Amino acid sequence: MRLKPKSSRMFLRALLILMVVSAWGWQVATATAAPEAKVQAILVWGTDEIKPDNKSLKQLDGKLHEKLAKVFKWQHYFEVSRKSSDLPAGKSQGLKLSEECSVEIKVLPENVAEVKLIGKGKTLVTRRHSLAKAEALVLAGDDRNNNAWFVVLNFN
Amino acid sequence: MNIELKLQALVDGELDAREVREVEALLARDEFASLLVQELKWTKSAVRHSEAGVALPETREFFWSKVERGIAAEARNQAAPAASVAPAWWTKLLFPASGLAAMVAVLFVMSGPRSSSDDALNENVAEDINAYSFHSEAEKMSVVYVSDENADFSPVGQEVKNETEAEK
Repeated sequence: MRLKPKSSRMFLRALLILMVVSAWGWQVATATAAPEAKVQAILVWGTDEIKPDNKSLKQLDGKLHEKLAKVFKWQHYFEVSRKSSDLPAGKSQGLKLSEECSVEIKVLPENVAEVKLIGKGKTLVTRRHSLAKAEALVLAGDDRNNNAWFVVLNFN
Repeated sequence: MNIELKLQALVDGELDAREVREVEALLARDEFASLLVQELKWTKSAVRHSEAGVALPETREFFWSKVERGIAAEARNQAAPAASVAPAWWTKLLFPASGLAAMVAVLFVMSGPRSSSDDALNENVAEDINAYSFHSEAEKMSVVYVSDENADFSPVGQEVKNETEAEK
């Protein structure tokens, strides 16, 4: 196959322009589009005490219990509440986990989620979490009587 | 050794130092000897620089084989420029394609994930809250542990408290 010089130059120019425009469009699309995601939020209570006879408290599933126990010092972990939600791109999504605790999550461009922990109507912590890796974000703190609370956020 | 041979030996550099001194003394006295030495030097110089080269005789077969090789070499030289004038069509794409590939690579790097490390991501906390972060690679979790200075935030306290009161 041999192209004539003139048609060859035109073909090359057209190809170059097409590829430049495609690359630019791809760059713009990837830079601005916020991907959709799903989130599961679990409010957990950690304690060394024997489980209180509370019907709303459930034993935490084994896998998450094991993960928390490897990182934190408490012996028992109970699930207080669990919420799941889709995260529309660019929109903030609130999840109420208890009377005093909720989280607001917004998926930002570049595959990052902005998480706000809200307690008593006040934003306590704002954290940006990369969704590039399948890693959980755990917001935690001390509770009364040497217990602790955990908000475990799993994204997918 | 007669005088002519000594002069010849002087010109050829074959005398020792003593003989050289003797001959030079002779040259100073004898004009004929001096002229003879000068002529010998000219002769030697003429022979050294004007000696005709000796050429080996060339056979008929060798002569014609040279002609044949010359014709073949000229034919090859004519064929080579023709090939270089029309290179393969894809070689014309080589430079633009490589430039384009470099540009795409730069765009890919620029548009890729900025950082997968949570350390690079910012974190804000309320004024009366202390927080510290850590990351567990083994358990694949990032942790933000908050400490409420007033100790009045207990997201699970109400639920546990309700149950405790119910028990009572």
